[in-house]
Amino acid sequence: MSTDNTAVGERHHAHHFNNAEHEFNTSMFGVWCFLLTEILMFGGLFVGYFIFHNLYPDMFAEGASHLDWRYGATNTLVLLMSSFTMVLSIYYARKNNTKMISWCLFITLLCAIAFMGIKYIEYSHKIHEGLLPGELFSYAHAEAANLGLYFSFYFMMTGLHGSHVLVGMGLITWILIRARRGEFNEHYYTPVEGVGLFWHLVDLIWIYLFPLLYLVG
Amino acid sequence: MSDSHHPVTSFETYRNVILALIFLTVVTVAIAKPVSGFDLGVLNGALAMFVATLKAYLVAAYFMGLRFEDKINKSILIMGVVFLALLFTVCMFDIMTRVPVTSTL
Amino acid sequence: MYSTPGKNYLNEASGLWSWLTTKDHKRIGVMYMISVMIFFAIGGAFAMLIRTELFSSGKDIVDAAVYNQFMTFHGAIMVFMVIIPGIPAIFGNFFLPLQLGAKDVAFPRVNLMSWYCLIIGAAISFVSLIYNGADTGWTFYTPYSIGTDNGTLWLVLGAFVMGFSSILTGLNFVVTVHKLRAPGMTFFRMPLFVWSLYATAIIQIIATPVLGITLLLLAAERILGIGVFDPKLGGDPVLFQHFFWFYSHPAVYIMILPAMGVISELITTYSRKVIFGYKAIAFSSLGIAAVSFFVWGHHMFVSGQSSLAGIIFSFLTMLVGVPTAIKTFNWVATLYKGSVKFDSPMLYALGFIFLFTIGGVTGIILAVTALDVHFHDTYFVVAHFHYVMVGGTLMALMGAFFYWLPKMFGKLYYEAGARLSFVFIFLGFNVTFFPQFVLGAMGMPRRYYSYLPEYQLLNRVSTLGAYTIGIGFLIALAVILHSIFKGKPAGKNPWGAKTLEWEADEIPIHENFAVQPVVTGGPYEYR
Repeated sequence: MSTDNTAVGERHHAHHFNNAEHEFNTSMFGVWCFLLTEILMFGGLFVGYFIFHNLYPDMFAEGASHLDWRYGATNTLVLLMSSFTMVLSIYYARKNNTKMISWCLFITLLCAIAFMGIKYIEYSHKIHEGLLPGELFSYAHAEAANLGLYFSFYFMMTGLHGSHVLVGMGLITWILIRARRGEFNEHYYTPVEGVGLFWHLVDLIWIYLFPLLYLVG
Repeated sequence: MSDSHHPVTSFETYRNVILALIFLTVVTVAIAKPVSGFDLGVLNGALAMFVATLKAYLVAAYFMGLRFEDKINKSILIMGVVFLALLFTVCMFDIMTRVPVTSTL
Repeated sequence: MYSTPGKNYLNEASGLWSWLTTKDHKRIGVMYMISVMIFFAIGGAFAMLIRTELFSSGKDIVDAAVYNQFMTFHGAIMVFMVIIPGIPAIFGNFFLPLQLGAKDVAFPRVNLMSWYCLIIGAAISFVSLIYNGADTGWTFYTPYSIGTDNGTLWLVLGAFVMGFSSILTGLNFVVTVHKLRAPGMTFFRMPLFVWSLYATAIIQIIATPVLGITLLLLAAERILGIGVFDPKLGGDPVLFQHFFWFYSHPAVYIMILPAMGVISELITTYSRKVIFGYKAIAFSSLGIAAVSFFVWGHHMFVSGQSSLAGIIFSFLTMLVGVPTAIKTFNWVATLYKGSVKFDSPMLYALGFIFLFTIGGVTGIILAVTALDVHFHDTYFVVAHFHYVMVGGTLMALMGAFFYWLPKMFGKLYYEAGARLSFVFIFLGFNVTFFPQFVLGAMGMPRRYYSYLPEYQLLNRVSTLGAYTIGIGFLIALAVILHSIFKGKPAGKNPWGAKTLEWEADEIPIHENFAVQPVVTGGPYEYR
């Protein structure tokens, strides 16, 4: 991440910044620019989804009927909770409550693991039934001739999102270790804020993925 | 030095936001056709997107602190949406105005 | 904060490891310089092979399949490894912080990472050579790129990784421009090179992620057969072209905008005159960046895109002519009554204006749908974009080399040699590519290893021209190497230029400036 310009355990700023606040603002601006690239990358998939959804509405409805909304809704709540604990970790950093920072990050991490677990169950069902992307599609009772295309989008979108969850888990582990060392407090929490923004974006994308894939269809 | 950082938002605000998000998730599930049979026809998708956007607003404004950010950080987010809209509009416009010979599916 | 006398960024640490782990933007710039020069040599070698094969009709040295690979690798290497990183990553990295009076770019570690992305991406691309290479052209059009049985996947993945390099460089530049300007350096006191890099960086941030997802979808298409671009499975191959050109047309401006910035610097320095229409040039950079996102459909006039979309794109494309013409007229107006010195960087700058204008005007011709249907996929298009990419970007790159070499290494170069390289490259370029306009108008299609016998004479002229360019670049390389290792000391400001980088030491120190500069005026206060 771009946020780690300060050496471990110190609160000084890198040589090319005027002061720590300058460094914080600059880092956050950088993270926002990075989030823009993420939005546009996912956006390409969303644009593709909308286009084919417009072309083949019935096929997409059939595809969505093969997804279980209960899994999707549970995952939505899990991710929302993780976002909540993520933002609380920054709240506690600014209250100098070191212990609670770690706890909040730990719960965030647990939520992420739960999310991936549920994803794993869903994926194995789909793979078992042959509801697979494009050429690999082998489900026998499909009505639409190109139902595989729906699962192409399902797997590409959730797959790319899932890979971001994995990256996020790595980042959260990293700041959790640093939080355990007591590095964060009201004067220095730049990495927590940066990772937090990334994590909220992952949540934000899922907020759209859930209705698009599971409900609207 | 934390002067220009965002003011600390109270715990209660965060709690209310997460409660609102959970509530909206329940709403979006409850009004979905596959779940409750509630059907507005073509508006189903628009309604789901509207609720999702409400949720996205809450996450962006409160969790991501966008309500306290500079104009420039806000405009970054808007820029992303604008350019995606451009890509979608043009692609869709092209497909809709093509001679319909592409697919029989 | 005075540093030890005699210390500079080149000698403050030594050993290969100190370079590979450096976070100094100047050293990263030099590393980019070396890698881009190597890639350019490889891409150039492919160009020579292509022209040699085309020396006469029929098979000369290779058959059609190998020729397709030459063409693909020439295109992919030149686009992704030379022209896109070229000016921003070499000279932008080195001089953007210096011109702003900053100590470094905003995120030095990310900056180093972007160099590794380029190198790793390039390495992945070359893996495709093990798997029978790639023959799709650099555009990877579906459905051919899905079906062709070779290493295309590796080239696609390599381009994907190199995209990150471009994104990270752009991100660093945007943040640096916004947050790290020296005291007194307002937006309208920034040198025009910085303005052009800023506009470029915005395009890099917005457009490149879309290329990323497009290439990812293409890779998934090849590995899993997901069918989004495959009509057999209900997908749409033309959608690939939309997605691809949504990035790749703005990418054309990623390639040319920094070159325009270099020209703005060169013209004003060697005319000893304040640039004419500073704000017009600055805003036209942003204008080009904005318009660049509305014109991608002009690559698809004959690809099955709807004719209505084609007409709209045709109209929008001609709008690009407006901001580019604003720049050209301002450069020419700067020359007027200036004390013009024809040093080699200036020769390259004037060469740029001449060649770029031809490239731009033929671009307007191609924007007309009716004419494009005739010229599409002929050598007219090849000549057009080479006039812009080589006649534009590479001329500017060469000008930038000779202009900034004294600041990068503290050495002067052999002026007569540099001028000689210009003569060879400029003349060779016109001999190579002007006949291709004629060939295209006569109907010779691009991307074939052979042609009808009546095209042979002009093709032979073109091939001889290509060899002349090759000699020109070899001369330039010799001059650059001679300068670095044997050149005379350059002094702080050999050209009497006014921008901030020339106030740094002869060879800048690690921190760039011993004392934080405070800016009190515009960038080009000559008279």
